[in-house]
Amino acid sequence: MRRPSGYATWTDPDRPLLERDTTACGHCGCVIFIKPGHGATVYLVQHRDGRWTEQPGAGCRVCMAAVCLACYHDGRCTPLERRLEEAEGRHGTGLVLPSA
Amino acid sequence: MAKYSVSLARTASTTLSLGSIVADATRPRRGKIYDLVVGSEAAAADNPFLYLVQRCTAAGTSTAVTPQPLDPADVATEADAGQNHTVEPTYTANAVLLRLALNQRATFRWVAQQGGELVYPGTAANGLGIQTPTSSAVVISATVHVEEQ
Repeated sequence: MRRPSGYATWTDPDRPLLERDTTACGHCGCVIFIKPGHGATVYLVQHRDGRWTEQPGAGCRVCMAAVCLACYHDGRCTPLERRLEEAEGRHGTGLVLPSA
Repeated sequence: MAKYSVSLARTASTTLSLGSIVADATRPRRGKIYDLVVGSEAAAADNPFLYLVQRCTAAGTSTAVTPQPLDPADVATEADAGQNHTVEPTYTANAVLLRLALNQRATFRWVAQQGGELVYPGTAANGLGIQTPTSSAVVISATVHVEEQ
């Protein structure tokens, strides 16, 4: 990915340095590990025993953001900023214009 | 927007969190975690750990830790950080933002570009907690860098 939104490393004295690019889910904001050179079209899933498996990447066709597999299967487009605004109680209040 | 650093540590527990950082109850401000380091300073051993960074809506009960501004000219943060929980934060179901498996010997670091941070809303007591559902009872620690809006 040309401009990943994050970078992760695992430093283990008994193994070579493990590096991963990451991107953020456009809906929930979670960290997604991505396969280098595939433009976030291949996600890497880490298992508890340290194995990595590949999963096809996912994108939302409404907001055109890369999304995690859970948000993809959910099917609804709720961008992260909207979720944050709803949590903060600011969604739907519209612009607050100064009084004349 | 000021940036802060906080170090959290405890003896790992499968049922109690390593630590949390949440928006203040009376002056909540949105926060963005952009740098995270986790590991164990215990004697090297081959124990598996699973760390989860998950959204929470209440901070639970913990030992307060004061995040330090990276620029001493910045004001104190409004965010509340805590470690060594005795009462768990109220975690939001299915809201795990980062899940990583880590050997006790290893150290993990994640750094976000602008726009890729772990963001928690500016809602009272909302934030992020770090759990270790798979762990051994050794000392673990996390260093969290957060940018407060």
